[in-house]
Parts: sequence; structure tokens; C-alpha cells
Amino acid sequence: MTRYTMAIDLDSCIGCHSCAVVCKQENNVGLGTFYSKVLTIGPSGSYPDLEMYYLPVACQHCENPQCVSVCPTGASYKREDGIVLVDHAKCVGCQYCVMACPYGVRTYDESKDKGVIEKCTLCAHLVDDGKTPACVRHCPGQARFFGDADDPESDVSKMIARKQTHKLTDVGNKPSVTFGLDKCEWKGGE
Amino acid sequence: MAVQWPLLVFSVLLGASCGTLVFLGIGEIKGVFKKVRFPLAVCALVLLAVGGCASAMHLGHIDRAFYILGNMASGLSKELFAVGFAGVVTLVYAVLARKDYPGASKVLGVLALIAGVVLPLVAGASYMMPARPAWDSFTLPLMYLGTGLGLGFVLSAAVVCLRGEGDDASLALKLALVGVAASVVTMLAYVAWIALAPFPVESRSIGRLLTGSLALEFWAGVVVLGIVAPAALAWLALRKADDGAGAGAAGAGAAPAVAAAGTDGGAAAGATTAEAAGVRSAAGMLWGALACLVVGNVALRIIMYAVATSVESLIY
Ligand code: SF4
Ligand code: SF4
Repeated sequence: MTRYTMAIDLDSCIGCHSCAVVCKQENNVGLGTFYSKVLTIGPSGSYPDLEMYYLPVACQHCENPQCVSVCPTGASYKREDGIVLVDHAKCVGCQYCVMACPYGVRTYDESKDKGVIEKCTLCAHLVDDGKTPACVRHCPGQARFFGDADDPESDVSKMIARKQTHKLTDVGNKPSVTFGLDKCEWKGGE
Repeated sequence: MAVQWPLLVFSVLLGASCGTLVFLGIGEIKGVFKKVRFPLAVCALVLLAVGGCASAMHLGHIDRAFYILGNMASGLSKELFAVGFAGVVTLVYAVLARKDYPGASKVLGVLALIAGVVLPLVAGASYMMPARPAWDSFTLPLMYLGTGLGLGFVLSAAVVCLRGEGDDASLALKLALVGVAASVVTMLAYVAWIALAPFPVESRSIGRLLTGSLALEFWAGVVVLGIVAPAALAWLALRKADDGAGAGAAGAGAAPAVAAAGTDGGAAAGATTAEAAGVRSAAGMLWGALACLVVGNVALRIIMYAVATSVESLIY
């Protein structure tokens, strides 16, 4: 079965924010709203043994998405291929999904389709066209990988195989995005 | 998380409405509160309707409100269903309360009692989610139920006292005290959960309530106005009415002796007046207790939203 997701090699991320910018461009994300952001974790440790890394964050396209289970209208849904989306025609804007997401990655985008919820779509429109998400394509550090987690030959599976991997804190939602980090100490989640 | 005012207003009004329904249900089972049951049922219905309208203001698309019944596994769908059930039961009860159908009123009274207990539990349970540690506890729906009993019982008892029905007033005042006790215990239990919740961070710590940015809401709002003041006022109201009844009984007891002098009618009137005055001043105290409870409930819910940060707040 196909399980599309993302793997991000944090050792290769240079913190340039290109992914966050190109995401806004590709998805026409309004002012003040983000589907994707890059956080700076650290610096931690004590001089001269300091370390720091960048953490690109967005919807984790969870295997057991809480946003979908709480949505009263069925507007939030998970596709067969694992991508979690919002059907704007059904959304009532109750924001229950915003409350149920453990990571704060959903919001209203007031400038676009007013009164409904927005978040990272894993560029489903591009994926359906046989392409990769915009952030993956434009990452200058080549830190982002997209693919089928169930296919051992996919870019995602290969990154997972060669790195120490981590996920964001799992409270039963089973986040699907994997972070690879060998050179620093992982500071959050699992 | 920012305070969700439409939901906050909804939950307070829903609590008051449901507490009133439970009060009416108890009245039906015991065969009392006949004179107040119609106005109280209308009051419960209006509170639920106004609360429902307030909660609709939270939606981005009110025009699609009925889509909310689309996923019965969702807490919100269950809540809307429970509100509909309570609304229909209250409406039918109110219509019956105008006439004299004791059997039917009793059945509807029991249904109202069930709706009054179940609805706050369903509404509170809709907030229980692992993504918000400060909400993920059964103490939250219990707090919704307990505070609802406090609001509804005090409101109902005040109306009973206002109508001067001396025989019902004593039970009503005792129920008001029980309601306030339920409110106090469940409020404290929820605050205890905030202290114990998993994934502790500063934004949802008990320290924010005790000495931090939420100290005013906690100490002045929850502790003084939500707990101490209503408990004291409900207790004083019961005492006041008992004293009035005691004075009335003493006056009536003196009546036979005075009867010889041909003034028994005057003594009986004095007894009734003393009792009625006691009940009237008890009503005043209960209105005061209700006002304090409303402020306390609003304060606790402001805190409830303020401490409801997600496990990790990555973008928002
Ligand atoms: S990260 Fe949040 S919005 Fe994305 S699928 Fe998981 S619960 Fe839903
Ligand atoms: S805001 Fe929209 S997508 Fe989110 S739970 Fe409500 S109806 Fe579902």
C-alpha cells in the first residue's frame, strides 16, 4: 500500500527557509499564514561545546490523524495514499481540528477561502501530477525527501535506512514525517 | 490558546440550563415546585437557545451548521445531537407544565434530568484530546456537570424563593447548597488536573494560576467569586430561611395563648410574614450567589482556554 510522506535530513538543512517561502508561493498561502516553517533548535550545551540545528515543520500527515477523527463534517480526511487533506466545500470552520492537532500546524487563512481551515497538503496537486512537493524540489541543501514509506527503494526509505531517525512527540496520532539527525542531540519528541 | 468567547458563553449558559433541568427533574420525582416549573422550563430553553446561537458564532460557515451531524464519532456531532435532545425534551416538558398531566410531566421530568446530566458531560468530553494536555481528563466534563448544577440549582432556588412558596423553599435552598458544593468540588478537581497534566511546560503550569499571569482570574475569579462567595451565600440563604421559619413557628406556637385574647388571626399573620421575609431575603442572597457563580465560571473557562496549549506549538 502506498504511504506518501516526507523524510528530512536535519544534518543537511542549512536553515535558509527556502521551503517555507516556496510553499507560500506554490500554495498561494496568505500573509501571516504558514503551511511550513523552519524553527531554530538551540544553541544548547555550554561553551565551547555548543550545538544547534534547524527543524522544518508542517503537517506530519499522521497515520492516525486526530484532526480527522474529531472533524464533525468529514471535511478533514486522509486519502488512501496517506495524505491528510481538508475539503473546503464541507468545512464549517469550527476549528475543532485545530484544537486536536498536537503540533499547531493548522489555521484559518483569512486571505483565501474565508472561514475554512488551511494546512500543508503535501502538494497533493503536484503529487497527483507525478511530481514531488515544491519544498522538496527547491531545497538547496537537498535535505528533504518525498516518497512511499512502504517502498524500500523510495528516497524516504533510503534516508531512514542511513540515518538516526526521530519523530515529533506521538500522543497516539503516529506522525509519519521522519527527521534524520546524526550530528547533534535530538531535543524533542521521540 | 486564545479564549474562545462564543464557546465560553455557550458552555456557561448550557450549564445553567442543564442544572435547571436536573432541578426540575428532582421536583417532578418529589412532586414539588409545581408553580415554578413552567417559568423554569422556559428559562432553561431560552438559556440553551441563546447559548446555541452564541456557539454558532464560532463557526466560519454558519450556513453549513448541519454538516456537523456528519461524523457521529466526533465529539462535536455528539454535542449537537445532545443539545437537540435536551431542547426537545425541555420544550415538551414546558408545554405539559402549563396543563395538569402529572404522569406525563413526571416522565418528561425524568427525561429532563437525564438530559441535564448527560449534556454537560458530552459537551465537556468533546474537549478531551491528547493534543491539549490541560483538557485531556475526565475532570473537565465533571467540572462542566458540577458547575452546571451550581448555576442551575441556585437560579432555580432563587426563583422558588421569589415566588414565596414556603413549603418548597426549604428543599430548594438545600438543593442550591448541594449544587454549589458540586460546583466547588468539581472546580477544584479540574484545577488539580491542571497541576497534574502530562507534558508539563510553563504555558500550562499551575504556577501560572497561583502566581503567574492568570493569578487574578484564579484567586479573584475562581477562588473568591466562584467558590467562597457562592458557598457562603447559599449557606446563609438556607440559614435565613430556617430562621424565618423558626420565627414563624414560634409566632404560630404563641397563637393559642393569644387566641384567648381574641387576636389569633394576628399571630398567624405575623408567623407567615416572618417566614416570607426570611425566604425573600434568602432569594436576594441566592441572586448574589448566582452572579458570583457566573463570574467564577467565566474565570475558570478563561483559564481553561489559556492553559490549553498543544503538546508542541510549532507554527501557531
Ligand atoms: S500533524 Fe496535525 S494536522 Fe497534520 S495530520 Fe497530524 S493531527 Fe492532522
Ligand atoms: S474546521 Fe473544518 S476541517 Fe476542521 S474540524 Fe471543523 S469542519 Fe472539520
